[in-house]
Amino acid sequence: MLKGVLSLLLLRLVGDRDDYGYALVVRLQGAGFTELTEGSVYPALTRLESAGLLDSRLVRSTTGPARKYYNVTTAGQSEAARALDAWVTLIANVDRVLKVRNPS
Amino acid sequence: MNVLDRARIANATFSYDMWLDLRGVPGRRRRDLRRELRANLGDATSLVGSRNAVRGLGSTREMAAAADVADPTRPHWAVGFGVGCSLLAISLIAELLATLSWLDGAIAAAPENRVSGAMTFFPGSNLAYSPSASGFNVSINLGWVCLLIGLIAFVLAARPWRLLIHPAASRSH
Repeated sequence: MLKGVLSLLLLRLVGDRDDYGYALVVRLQGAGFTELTEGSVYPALTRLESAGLLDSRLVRSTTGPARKYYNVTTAGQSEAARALDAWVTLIANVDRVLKVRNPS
Repeated sequence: MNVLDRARIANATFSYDMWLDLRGVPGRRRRDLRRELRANLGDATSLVGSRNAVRGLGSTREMAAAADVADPTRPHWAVGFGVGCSLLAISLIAELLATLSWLDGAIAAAPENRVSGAMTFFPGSNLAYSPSASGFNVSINLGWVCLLIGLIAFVLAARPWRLLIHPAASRSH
């Protein structure tokens, strides 16, 4: 996966709905990222939280230890918007190059 | 969740915590990350089983590195302790082997009076052999070099001078 894309996806998913680590993994895998593992998602969440882009709270669980639910901070929303712009620009540029090589 | 599931989760959590500790992550932050991982693994276990849940993590060492939560102002006490103890043990073994070698020489020479000596690379050590009616007496003083080696190794590996790094300066890197 391209650098920064996982962060964008996580910010977007958490922005849609507060969620915890494993549920986010399941949502990403359900969205088609079947190769994505917990080993890359959990550290990414930790990095985003350390950077102040995500905030968290503990919520009691009936099935085990308390779950850590993430929510997007204001800085996280700005970063998500910036990353989305960068992504759209990247897609457009890649598309343009591919169309030049394959004019059909 | 059975005992095996709990053991797998505990093992993965312990391993992750150890790598975080080696990377200099403060105790409170490690406790948070441990608790979060345990909860996530518990949820994953109920869906895919503990074996797959733990396998999904991959290398806990790489996870700890990717989390990038190390505190550059925190010394590596655990690393220092491990390295210090290891070098202390190695130097003690070396000194004991040298002592045994010296004693072999003393016994082979069979002196009639007390003989004493010291080991070249271990200043402060003192060895004495004295024959007696029932056999021989031996006195061994290993000196302070082993402790010094262990202490220096501990300090070099723990890097306590990181405490002097100003947190604001460390954030600018």
